[in-house]
Amino acid sequence: MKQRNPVSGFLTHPLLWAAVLLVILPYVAGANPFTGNWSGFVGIATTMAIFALFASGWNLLFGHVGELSFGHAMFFTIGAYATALYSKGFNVTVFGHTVQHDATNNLLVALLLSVVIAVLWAWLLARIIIPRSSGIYFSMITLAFAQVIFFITYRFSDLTGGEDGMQSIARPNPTGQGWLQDSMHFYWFTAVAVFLALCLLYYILRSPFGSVLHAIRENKQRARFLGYDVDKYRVNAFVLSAFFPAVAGWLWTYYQQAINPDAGSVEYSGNIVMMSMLGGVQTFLGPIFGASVYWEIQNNVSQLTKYWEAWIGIVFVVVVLVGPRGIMGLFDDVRHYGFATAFKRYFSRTERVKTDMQEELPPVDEAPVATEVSH
Amino acid sequence: MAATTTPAAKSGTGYVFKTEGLTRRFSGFTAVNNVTLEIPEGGVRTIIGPNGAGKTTFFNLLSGLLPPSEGRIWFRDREITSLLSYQRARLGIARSFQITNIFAHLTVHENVRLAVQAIHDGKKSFFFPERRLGNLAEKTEQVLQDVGLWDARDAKAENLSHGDQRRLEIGLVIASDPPVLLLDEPLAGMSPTETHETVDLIQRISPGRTILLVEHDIDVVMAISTTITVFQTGAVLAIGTPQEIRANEAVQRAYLGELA
Repeated sequence: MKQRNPVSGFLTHPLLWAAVLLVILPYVAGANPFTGNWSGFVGIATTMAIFALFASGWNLLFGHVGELSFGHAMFFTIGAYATALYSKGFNVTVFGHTVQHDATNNLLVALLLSVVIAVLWAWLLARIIIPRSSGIYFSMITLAFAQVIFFITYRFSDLTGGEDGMQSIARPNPTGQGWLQDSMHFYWFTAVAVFLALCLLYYILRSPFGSVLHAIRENKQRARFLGYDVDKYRVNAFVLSAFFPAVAGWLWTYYQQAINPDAGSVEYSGNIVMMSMLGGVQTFLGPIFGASVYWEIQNNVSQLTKYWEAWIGIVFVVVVLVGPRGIMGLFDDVRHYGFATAFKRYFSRTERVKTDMQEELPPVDEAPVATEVSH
Repeated sequence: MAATTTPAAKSGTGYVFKTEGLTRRFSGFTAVNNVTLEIPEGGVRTIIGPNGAGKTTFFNLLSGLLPPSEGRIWFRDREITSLLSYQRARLGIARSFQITNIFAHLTVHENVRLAVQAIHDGKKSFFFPERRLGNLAEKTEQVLQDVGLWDARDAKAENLSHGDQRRLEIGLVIASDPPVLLLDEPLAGMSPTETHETVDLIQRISPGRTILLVEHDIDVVMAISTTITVFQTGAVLAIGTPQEIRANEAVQRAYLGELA
């Protein structure tokens, strides 16, 4: 292990940079060189912060375990709807039984509900999916289960409000003075919550547990033969990666003060994939910066053309083809090798990110290698 | 190394592995055919045989990479036929592979640390910073020193030379202090110097352990083996000390003709 200089260790600490980003976001988010508007929009900053957490949760699974989930919006939407239903109350008849809950606005109970429901659902899914699939089949099954949740929110309109969703959801009022009504105050509330969750994620990834996830990403077979119960780790990682989107969903409902089925759509699941790839998977800061860059592009380009989604698609294609290690991949290389070498490395074919989507190689039995050995 | 390691206590059975009618077929081809065998505790137990004799398949059956088509396997007094590979690893059966099997994109240090911390798997402290796991760093350093890779600890494993990668894999195998090691052609593709160093390493780690070795380098096999088991077409042809095997006519006819 290299001896770290404490000063440079602090200056390059990912959590420091996450904090710096969260502090400057409300002053720069949405600044648009095309219109000459250089001041930030706090609403865009809030969106960026929430999606930074959402994408980071997804990336725990993809960047660190190597499992590509196409359905993580289900955990986001579960968190969002749990918060909405708890806050707004409901009165619904299921199989002849009336279930009723009055409006409340305790933000911690809402958080607890969001997280517990999302985590239980994730655990149930993981127990079903993980021993049976990996690679592309895993991606497809997560997508299918996300559609199940999406259509529940879409069709079960007595409870969820159907296509229109729910509106005028009150923000919690813990101080009794409506402090969170102010959009800047709400941003700081969001930023602190996101930062705390990111700290938790960071320490999970740096723990022995996190290093086993990396081992599984690199070589499942080797991990098994060291004595690691690989599937147990994959289940735990899946559950943890559902936790963070659920927290993001909780914030999302309070921010929008409304919710509709879009939050659980395939589009949302896909967007966080794009954000993370843009920022760089296999890094801690990648999804965080990627979310900001994504919404910045979205905001600026959508003012110029109604085809903004096509432009984001083009940016995504370019990133994947030219520099699949994303923005943070480039940063890391500049730090390690200096500008010239970094750019050369970045665009070279051999340094492409390896995502371990393929299944393990079949066992090699009496391979021809043996014939090369001297007798 | 040997002074600081204490492999798990031996059982009273006298053997580490026992197989009974062990058979493995691959779509019609029988790689291991009805092998009934006891492998005694301790020493270097080498398996030799021509290519295709079923040596690696036998290893794969013992370590849990493949389920047997028929037959049963005991590890000491415990039947392990249906145990998964990670469960067998936890019992103290560690193996290396014929084709180098390491975490290529992680550093040498990370590779060994992962192997060292595997014995802590399942403990609550796993979510806390690794310093809570006690002497992880010390033990990692010790293993790296033992296999001679301490100076290369910050290199990515994929950037090591072939010989160093093979040695790293032996490091992964011994990191958890397993009482039983399965080494599948650890010397394959090594230069004479590397071979010499690795044989040295194997001899240093062997006291107090049982080492099962598949190896083609006959000089090495004759020099370091306690007993030799000869496989031919999926079955055991002969078992004996190196001298006995050298003198065995059936073995000479089948395999060792070139040695005479």
